[in-house]
Amino acid sequence: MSLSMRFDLSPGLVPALVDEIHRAALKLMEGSGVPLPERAAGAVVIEELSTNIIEHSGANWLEMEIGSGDGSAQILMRDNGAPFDPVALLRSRGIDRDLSRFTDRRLGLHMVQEFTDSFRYERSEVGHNLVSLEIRKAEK
Amino acid sequence: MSDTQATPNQSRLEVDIREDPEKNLVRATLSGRLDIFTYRDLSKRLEEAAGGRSGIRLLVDLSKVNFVASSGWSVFIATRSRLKRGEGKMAFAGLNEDLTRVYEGMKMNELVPAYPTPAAALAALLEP
Repeated sequence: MSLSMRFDLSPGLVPALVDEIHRAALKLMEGSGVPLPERAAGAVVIEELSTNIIEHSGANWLEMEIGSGDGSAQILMRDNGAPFDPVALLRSRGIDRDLSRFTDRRLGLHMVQEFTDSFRYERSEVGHNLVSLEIRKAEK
Repeated sequence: MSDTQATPNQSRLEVDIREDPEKNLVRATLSGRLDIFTYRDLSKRLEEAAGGRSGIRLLVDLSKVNFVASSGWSVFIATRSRLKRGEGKMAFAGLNEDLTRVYEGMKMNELVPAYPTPAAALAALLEP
């Protein structure tokens, strides 16, 4: 089952918008049956990706779709901003397992990588950024 | 001596910092949300309080914090690095279930220990 919401990004990077997206993410995760242990990681990942989109892409809307299947959480984020491939950016940085090196905002994408089992990007034919990922199941 | 100066986003994150110079201890109690709007101010406050002396013991009480974004975790990593260079120590206290899942998931426990209560964290920090 999956649920989705769309956000108007015209206010820009302001607390009210970030909070609205956070609340919606929690509600969508609950509503679509994302297991409780994965919701915390999901919330952090969604906040990281959405603030990047608001801050850097020039998009004026963002759609978030959250679903669950086989006990895993799948997230799809779509926006109409400038092309931005976070997967390629991560790949270009290489894998760094030393957490102590992440003393700046590079930690955000590192966390996305650490908490997801698949992280994919594509640019749609109509010019939208599509980021899809599956939250890694929490260790019991 | 305490420092409860308001942050620009005070309603979003309150930061209360208390120093005990005799024990070389700094206690930072946070309340609210640590995210892209509040991390810079926290970083500055921690640097001011715990940046100068060597051997500082820093207790970060997160029992009233409901969310920490990646920007917040990076402040803690940077603070821990700074303390370590000065042979200091740092500990978290009071992480709720959600914070604990993220903390353990990113293996932050390998850098900074966490304790269920401020008292337990304090005891660990003050061990010789």
